[in-house]
Amino acid sequence: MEDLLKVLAFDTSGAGCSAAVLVEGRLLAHRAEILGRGHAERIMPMIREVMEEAGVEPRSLDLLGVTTGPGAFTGLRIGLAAARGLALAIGAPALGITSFDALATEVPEEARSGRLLVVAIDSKRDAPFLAVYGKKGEMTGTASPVMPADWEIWLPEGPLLLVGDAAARLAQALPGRDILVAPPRLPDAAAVARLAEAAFRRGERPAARPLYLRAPDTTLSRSQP
Amino acid sequence: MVLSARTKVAPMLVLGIETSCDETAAAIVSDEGERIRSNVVFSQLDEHRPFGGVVPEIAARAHLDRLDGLIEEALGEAGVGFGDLSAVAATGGPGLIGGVMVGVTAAKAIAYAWGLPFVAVNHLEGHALSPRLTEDVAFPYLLLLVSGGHCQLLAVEGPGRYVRFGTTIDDAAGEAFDKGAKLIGLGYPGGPAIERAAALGDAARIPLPRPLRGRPGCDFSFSGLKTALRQAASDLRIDGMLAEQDSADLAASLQAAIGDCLVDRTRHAILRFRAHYAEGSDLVVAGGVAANGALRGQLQSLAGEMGMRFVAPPMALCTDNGAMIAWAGLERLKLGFSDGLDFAPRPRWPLDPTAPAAIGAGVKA
Repeated sequence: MEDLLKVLAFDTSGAGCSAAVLVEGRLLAHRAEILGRGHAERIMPMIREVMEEAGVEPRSLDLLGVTTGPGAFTGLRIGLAAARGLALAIGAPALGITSFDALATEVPEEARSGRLLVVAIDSKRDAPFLAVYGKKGEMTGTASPVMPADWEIWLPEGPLLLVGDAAARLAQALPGRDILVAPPRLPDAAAVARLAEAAFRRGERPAARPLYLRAPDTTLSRSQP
Repeated sequence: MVLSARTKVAPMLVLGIETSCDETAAAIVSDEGERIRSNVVFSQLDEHRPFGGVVPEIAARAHLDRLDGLIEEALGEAGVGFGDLSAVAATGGPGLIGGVMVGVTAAKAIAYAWGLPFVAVNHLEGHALSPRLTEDVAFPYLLLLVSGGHCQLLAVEGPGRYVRFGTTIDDAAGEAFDKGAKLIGLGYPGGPAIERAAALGDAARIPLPRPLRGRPGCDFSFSGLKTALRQAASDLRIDGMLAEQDSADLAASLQAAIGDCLVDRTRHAILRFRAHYAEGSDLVVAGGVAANGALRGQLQSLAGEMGMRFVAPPMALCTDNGAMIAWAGLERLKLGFSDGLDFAPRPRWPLDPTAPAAIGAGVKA
């Protein structure tokens, strides 16, 4: 197994918590659980479980993959802190994969049947995070949080295929549109591992930095000069 | 295998990580020779200053951005690699949970990668044991822990063994400084701002209350002081502005009032400590407020008067840092304590779990 490319990837960006080990493109171990909360307790034990199942020693890893969001801020940071901690400790790169790409990559070509793909991720606020994928599977335009009043204007015309945990909400709110809702609802570590490996082989090193897409809720101090 | 007396035991080296408030910090500490091998702190002051206080979400973002770089720096300065470490320790609470999760998760990841023990350290225990990092302080001792988040008097019997004598029932002392500075318009952080202004002011000019002074027990209360200060400041304002001398006098009066409260309650605690423990004659003050020179002076005189030795960690170890977390981790590890990779960060984590929660103080007690 010495010369094979060994990838560990995980996702804690939303309600799910998953980890996967990919060796030379083969998924050797995978766990996925719906947690809601408690990612800080679960992620490292889950990583140890998949690594042991795959028979891979942590310091023999070549690559780490992690979701960068958008997603729940705390969950995102837990995954990114684990990835960056591991990367520093073992001297392997940690590549960041957006939740949009992780979701979009899991939609098979045949499922799209000519529809434009829209990824819709719950933001725990009124405005879900939306991104459109073109026919070649590439994100077109800019991913953004979009308020319900603007959905109609923001979404491209024509038949759409929606994925992500806010997909059903959009479809319900727009009964006049030709919209199909398909899985997956949540990003998964196996997809993150494949995307990280593909990026790595192309020589790309997308940073393991959070994609918050929303500024912190703050107010400036009144008593400041 | 027979261990000969000459078997050399390698010194312990512990990496400590602190991310519970607005300092991101990493340090390497040893139990032999030079104890603090490195101690790197990134203060997020500039990030929070526009908001007049620590914004949890901004703090959590900055911790994630900075932590791995700081760990690398701490290792580099100490001249050690991960393979030389005996354990990885991180603040596991109490504190701003978003930041604690970043530090704990990074620490677990490093510990897992190198097969090292992970030690979750109570941030308050980090402060409590910090005098032992630089001085010979034996258990038991009396501790006044004063910071932006806490104000407590405790008997320290050993790592993990604390008896709380008193706590704030509302604001922490550091909070009184921060809120006071905001009221007077001195900016953030309040402690150093008040101390600077107070040096030019008349502490006797503004009569402020000394809440709980003279009352039995060792509890603190500072919220009434804040209210009185607000009133005094508004009486002095002309067209909404405070004259520079008025600001200085308010700052000096506030600092004196906080100091008097700390001295009064600590005096009670010394009496109680004496009654409970046959040994131990050290009064230790730790936490960010212990960096205030005027308060240090007042407590030092109290200790002298009561026949106690006064011990305060060097200024750099009073405010939040990784060295104290590494040291507390090292002390715990020596007693056989370590934590699993499933450790859950604790927003509230009292040192003395048997002491009742002070409702008005929230997670502070």
